Amino acid sequence: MTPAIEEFGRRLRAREISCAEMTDACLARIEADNARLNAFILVMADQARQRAEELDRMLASGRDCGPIHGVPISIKDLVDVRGTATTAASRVREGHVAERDAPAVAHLRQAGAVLVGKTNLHEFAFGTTSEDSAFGPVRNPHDPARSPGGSSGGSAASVVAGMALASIGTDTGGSIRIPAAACGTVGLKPSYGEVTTDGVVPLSRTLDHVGPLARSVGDAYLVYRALVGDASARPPAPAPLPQLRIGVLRGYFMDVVDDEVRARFEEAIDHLRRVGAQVQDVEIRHAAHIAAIYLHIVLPDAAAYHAKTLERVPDRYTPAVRWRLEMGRHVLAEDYVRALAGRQLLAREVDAALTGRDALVLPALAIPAPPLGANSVIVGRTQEPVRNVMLRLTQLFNLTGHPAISLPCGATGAGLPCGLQLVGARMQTDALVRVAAAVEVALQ
Amino acid sequence: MGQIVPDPIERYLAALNRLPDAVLQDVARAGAERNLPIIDAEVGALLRVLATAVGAQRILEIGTAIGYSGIWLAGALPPRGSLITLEMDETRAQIARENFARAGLADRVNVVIGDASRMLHKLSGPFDLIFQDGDKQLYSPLLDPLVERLRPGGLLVTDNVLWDGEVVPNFVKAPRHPPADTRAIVEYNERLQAHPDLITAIVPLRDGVAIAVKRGRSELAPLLDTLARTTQALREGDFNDDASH
Repeated sequence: MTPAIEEFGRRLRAREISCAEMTDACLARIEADNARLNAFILVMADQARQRAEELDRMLASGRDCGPIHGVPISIKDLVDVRGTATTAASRVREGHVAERDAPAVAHLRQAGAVLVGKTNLHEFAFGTTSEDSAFGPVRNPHDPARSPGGSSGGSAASVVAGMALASIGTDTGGSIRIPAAACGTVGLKPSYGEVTTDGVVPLSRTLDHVGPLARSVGDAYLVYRALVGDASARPPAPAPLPQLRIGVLRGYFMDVVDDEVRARFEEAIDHLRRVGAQVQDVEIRHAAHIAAIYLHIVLPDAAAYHAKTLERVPDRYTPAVRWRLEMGRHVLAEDYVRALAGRQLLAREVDAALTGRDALVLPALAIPAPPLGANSVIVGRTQEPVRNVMLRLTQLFNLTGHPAISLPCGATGAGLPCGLQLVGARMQTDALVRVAAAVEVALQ
Repeated sequence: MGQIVPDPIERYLAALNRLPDAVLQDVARAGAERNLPIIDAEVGALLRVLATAVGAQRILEIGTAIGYSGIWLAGALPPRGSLITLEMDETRAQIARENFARAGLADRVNVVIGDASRMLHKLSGPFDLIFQDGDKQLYSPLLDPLVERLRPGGLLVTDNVLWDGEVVPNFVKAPRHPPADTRAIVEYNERLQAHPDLITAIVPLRDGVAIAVKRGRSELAPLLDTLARTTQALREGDFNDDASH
């Protein structure tokens, strides 16, 4: 993939392009394609142009903010951007206006980002398809009859369609990595707690993460560094492939996977072996319990946050999200506590699987992008609920807090992208990104 | 006393009833003195039982009178529950408000003055229980709008469906009620039994109480079935063993 941000930065400093021209190019893509893709809830064209011109003047006077200087970035409409409504794609939030930027957004501005708009999402980030939205479904740029994945579906679509060079998403069960895989781009969920979630509408405070979607591992890294307040990061040096020790998650993780997604994944693993990586199979002993543990934490967490509006204005939610939130009021405290114990056990098991290894690898999404409106899909010989199968490979690392990144890994015969997911040690996001950069090169 | 159950048995039932409190007895006395159409304690107890059984959080009543039946109903509500009760007569509605306040229920009862056939479209459901005790000639026209506002599994309870026995042709020698009202109730009873969304039983208590439950499961029910299976799987996991495995 073209390293869009890195390439733009090189051309910007060679005076071959200006910030204003880059922003205009993205706004033109939005103008041309947003009616079809429905990726944006709000386009901030005037503000973006103004800011881009300001950044051009700054650069001309010798003030360079760093690698994000002048980069057009879209923001998932779950994150506060001062002076705009944070709709969370819900009628429940009608009338809301953010008084200040979320700290992560403030960091981006300081790093020189140009905010082009707020992207559409699955209402309150509580779904994997981005179709339950008060603003209508987001469509996949590869096939508008299909979901772009979610919940950060508008973010992924905006990056793939060239409406922004990167986007800020959130990930509570896979909401950055799933749309990245479904749309064929890179999505990075940093370690838990690295990027502040202040100013972000919560889904589950102990599972929520903020992170970038971008066209390359290097680009995702630069935006991630900007999000934590480091505006002058350098692109990561790829880890040396021949010494990489990689654990392939088998068992539960490969039990329910689409045949073509599986084939692309196995081809990638074979290739990594051929270029010298040490690849071993690993299992997570309690993997069969991941979904139950996740559900018994995310449901009550979400229901607690939404309790007042569920009582006051239940009809303002889209029905599917409303009923899923209502479910959370039927989880017993003792089962929540049980799930917390299971979560700790899973974290220890993932730590153990990473001992002596640089990364774990598994597909990011078990199926290609599903058709809009589908409640279930056939995977192999079984029919699976869309939501369960889409969360299946990502939610573990929200429970455990390990950093995880999804990168493109070929496509199906119908041209739908597949994603490969790498998982690193906790609070070692930089090391994971170096591995991902090496794998990205190997798979090109 | 009504015409349906023999008086000695009604007296026996009344003597058994230990539920009413001082405010209720006071309101009943005031109602009797003014010859106001209020339900009896036995029907009140039935309302309390039904509202409690369905875990009612939102109740709608058509025909407040002076709030006697409303006190029975609202007494079953949790602290954040609500009873919306409609009354056409402004004076009665004012007395009802005072009675609800005396019963300590003012925070969860909203007395709305107006004709139910005009007010209903302003009220959105779903209600867990609806008590129909208003204008008899409006029973039939309001049936579908009320069923629409009832949640699946919720109850539509209707008073006076035996109309002192006058719904049975020639049973009462000298009918007291206007024939148009009687015809309206006969028609209503038939529509209740034939309604595709309702399962109805009539209890010949006092003046006859129809209890209809709305068919169907809530949209939440299949999700809760799935959750129950997942919870079962969670409970089968042993998460207290440590990382030594």
